[in-house]
Amino acid sequence: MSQIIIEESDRIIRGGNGTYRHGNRHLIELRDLTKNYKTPAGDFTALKDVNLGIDQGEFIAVIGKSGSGKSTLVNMITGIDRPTIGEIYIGDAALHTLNEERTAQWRGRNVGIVFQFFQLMPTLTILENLLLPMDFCNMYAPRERVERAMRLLEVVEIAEHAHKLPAALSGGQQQRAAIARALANDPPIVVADEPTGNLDSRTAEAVFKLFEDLITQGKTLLMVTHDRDQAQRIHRTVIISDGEIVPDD
Amino acid sequence: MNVNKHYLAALKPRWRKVLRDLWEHKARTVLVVLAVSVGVFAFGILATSRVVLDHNLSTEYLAIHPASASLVLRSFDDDLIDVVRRLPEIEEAEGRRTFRTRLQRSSGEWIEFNLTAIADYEDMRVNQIWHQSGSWPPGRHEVLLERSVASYFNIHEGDEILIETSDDKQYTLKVAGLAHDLTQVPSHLIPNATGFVSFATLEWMGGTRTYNQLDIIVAGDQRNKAHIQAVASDLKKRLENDGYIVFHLDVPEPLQHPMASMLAAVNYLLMVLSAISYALSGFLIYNTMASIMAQQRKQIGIMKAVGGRQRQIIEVYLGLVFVFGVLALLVALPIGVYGAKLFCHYIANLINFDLHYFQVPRWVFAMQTLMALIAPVLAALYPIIHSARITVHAAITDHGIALERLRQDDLTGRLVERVRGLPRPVLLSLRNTFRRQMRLMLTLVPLAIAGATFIAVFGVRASLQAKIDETVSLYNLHLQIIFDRPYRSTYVSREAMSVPGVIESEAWATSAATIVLQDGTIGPAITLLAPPVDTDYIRAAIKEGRWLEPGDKNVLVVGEDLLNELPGYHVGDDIVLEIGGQRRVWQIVGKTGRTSSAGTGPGTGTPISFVNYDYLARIQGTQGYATLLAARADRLDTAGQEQIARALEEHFKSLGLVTGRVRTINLVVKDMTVRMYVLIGLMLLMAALLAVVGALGLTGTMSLNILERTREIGIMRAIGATNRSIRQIVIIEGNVIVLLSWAVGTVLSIPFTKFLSDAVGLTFLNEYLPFAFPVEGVAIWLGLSLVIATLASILPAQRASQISVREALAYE
Repeated sequence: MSQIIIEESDRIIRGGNGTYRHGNRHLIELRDLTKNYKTPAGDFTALKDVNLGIDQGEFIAVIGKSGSGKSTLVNMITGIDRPTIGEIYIGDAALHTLNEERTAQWRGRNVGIVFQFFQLMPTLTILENLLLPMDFCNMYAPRERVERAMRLLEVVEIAEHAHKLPAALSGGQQQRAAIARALANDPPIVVADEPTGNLDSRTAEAVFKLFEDLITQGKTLLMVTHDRDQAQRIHRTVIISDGEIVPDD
Repeated sequence: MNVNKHYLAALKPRWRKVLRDLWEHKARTVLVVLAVSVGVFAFGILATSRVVLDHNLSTEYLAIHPASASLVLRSFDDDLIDVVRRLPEIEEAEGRRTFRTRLQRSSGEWIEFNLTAIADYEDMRVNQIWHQSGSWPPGRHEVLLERSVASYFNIHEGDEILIETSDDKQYTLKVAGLAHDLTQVPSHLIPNATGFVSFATLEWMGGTRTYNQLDIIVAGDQRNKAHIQAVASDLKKRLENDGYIVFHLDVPEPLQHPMASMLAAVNYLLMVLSAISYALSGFLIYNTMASIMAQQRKQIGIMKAVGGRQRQIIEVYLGLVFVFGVLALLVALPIGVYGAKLFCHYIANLINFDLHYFQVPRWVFAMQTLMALIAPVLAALYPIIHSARITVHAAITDHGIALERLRQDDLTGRLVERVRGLPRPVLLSLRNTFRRQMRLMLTLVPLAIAGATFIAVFGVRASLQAKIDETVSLYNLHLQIIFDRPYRSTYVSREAMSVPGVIESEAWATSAATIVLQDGTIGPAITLLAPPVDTDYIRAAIKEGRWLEPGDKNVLVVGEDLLNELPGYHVGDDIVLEIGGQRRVWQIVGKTGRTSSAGTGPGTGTPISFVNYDYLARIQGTQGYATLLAARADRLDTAGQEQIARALEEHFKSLGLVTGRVRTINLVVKDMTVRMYVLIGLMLLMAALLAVVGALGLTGTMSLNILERTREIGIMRAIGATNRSIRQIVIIEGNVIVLLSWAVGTVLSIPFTKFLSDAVGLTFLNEYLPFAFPVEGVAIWLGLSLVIATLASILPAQRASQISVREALAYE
């Protein structure tokens, strides 16, 4: 396979009149979103009537206490979880209408996810971890994939560890690898769930700088964080409390 | 990381993951591969052996120009052979003289020695024997031994053997060489001896240059038994009309080695057992894949989070399973070929034929490939699809099995939670056993089935033994002596009583008879035993009709084996018997148990019918005379009875009586038991393979349990558990599983024993075997199970005891 074809409908392209296919004006648009969970202790509402719009190139911090619903919100945007009520539009995709299979494909091409505990595949080398999303989503020609992965590892300054297994790297290096993997398919949106929560302050600062670089490249970045200092350096902060977005003062 | 980077570099990352997962969990890979390969190589061995043995046996058998029928006459010469050869319905005919002698072994023991005189060793046309080694043909005073005789009785070329003819004369013959007679049951199955001499030697030994056995090959359809029977019956009638005395006509299965059908039946039985082991390996694969998928939930979630679709995830894990299959195939193919070679040689040696051709048929390779690749995929399909369906959210928020608890709402969980009063480690083992109930079940089932099969094989042995006992118990006597001609009953009885050790004796009449079927053709040969009507030497269990009564004339009591062979005949029916060339109508008045193979009477192996002494003696003109003497001895042990038998034989010989064999019942039982053990041995071998699959399953389960409880083990170590106590917990858990499987297997063994006994009985004896519950088998399986449990738990226990606290607490 010499050339990898990307289905255009899977990539986010803004329409000429400033709106996306479903009429949403924001790149990420959540409408009246509610999420309920059934637990042994009864129903639990993680999100209540959430409405949120995020534009391309924005760097958004989602902050809130533990259990406030911020991870649920991020999971809705990445398609990892589905709303009980409400609509999610991301670019041209009405995420709430896609099935699991379509969502996986869409997510692989449009959203890069950085997890708090890195979640690298333990039996694959760092380089292979980066190649995996390209492989799954059939992105880039095979020869190009390795070059691209190595370039990304250079960006996050761990290229010399490309052929090591994740267990051989420090936490900070693993998180850099996870960020590089999130960028493997060059997604327009990057979502990071407490990416620095498990790192020392010096490493956390380096990772944060990487995110700031991504913004300069036009990416839209959504980051869940506990760190109010970091939040202050971000364009906009969304505060969640008891499943509701606290209005800006 | 020892996997070669160059090879891996060419693969997509997802396939690299598959290979690394296999490599990282080598023990698990080995277990699954071995489990799958057991069923596959067992199939390869049995299917290849079936084809190879069939091919060799039938090719070799056809090459000897087997007789379509054999007639035993009093005497005839070359003129008759010429006449018979000219008959249009006869393709070929040959005459031989067979006569019974005895051979003295170096130990002094006398064994039966059947000698055949062949006129022209270079022009054998029917039932050819082949030159094996040494001189050919045998010269004067020389004998060729059947090759199985030489090896079984340890007689070599060049040895001189002492033989004794029925007129008590002894001759020394030199063993000139060895011959191969494919029509003979080899000595290791029936310890008789066979040899071949020239007519010159026969004449030197007092014989005449005449024949007594006429072997014919019919013209026309040589595979059609009815045609052969018609031609042979017609020939027999013609010979009798011409004044020849025909004692017996035998029509074997056409163009089929006498043991071919038994061989096919053994192969079929073993194939069933190998199919079970193959099916059971599926349980292990299911267990392993379910566990792998459970451990990989988070990784599945990550793969989905980075764009992996369900189909791709399924492909990844099916790829893993496929590699298991390929590896299993690589293991199974050579073992299958080598095993088939060994098995074929074993069977060829057992049946006494040569393997000239050995080739594994392509279809066997194809089937093995399918089996190795399909079984793992089928077994793993459900856990893979089920796990691949997991949502990313469910996968990455999964807390793993470390937090799993015994379910409060199920009975087992409640029962196990209630167990109190045991030492903590034992209690922990017991509770651990029931934590993964599905896995427990899938481990228990193969072990229980393996156990049930193992016990059932012992059941078959017990049933066969019971059958032998039942057959032998028909005779309430210790030894018997058969005379070559009738002697006065009172005389032989009195003389027998004068031999030390003989405490009672009774004289019987005997006769060979042939059944003439309703359509006029010749049916099976039978032996008539005629004890005095008030005898207590026979304890026939009458299953239908009645036993003989005083005043009975042409009535007989038959064994159920004969009625099984003659489906049209029942108790109360008339039956035509031909005795000494004369046909008479008899009536079947009773049916007793199995009578053939009891080794009693002149026609060992033929069914026996009981008739009234007075009537049989009257029609034979031998009233007051006996051809068989039954005796009871004061010794019950085999050696003691053999000693008395020899003394009896010597005594009769000193009186100048012409005697045949003296056989003790113990020896008869021993002969029958030897043949039984061949079958039991093969079945036990297959049961052992099942046990191996079960043991692999248990090892797999224990390893998975340990892997999943890594964190728990770390916590136990953190709070003071020693290596020994960790090992103890694991080994006890293994033993608890095995004891449960033993209990289930014991219960299952009842229907298994019944099924296997019936299958063996119907296949080999054409009747159901008596059911016997094998307590011995249950006990042996218990012992073996505990050994299996300990062996299967040692490695996982060792691994568990080596887990460090730091490693365990870092484990996700």
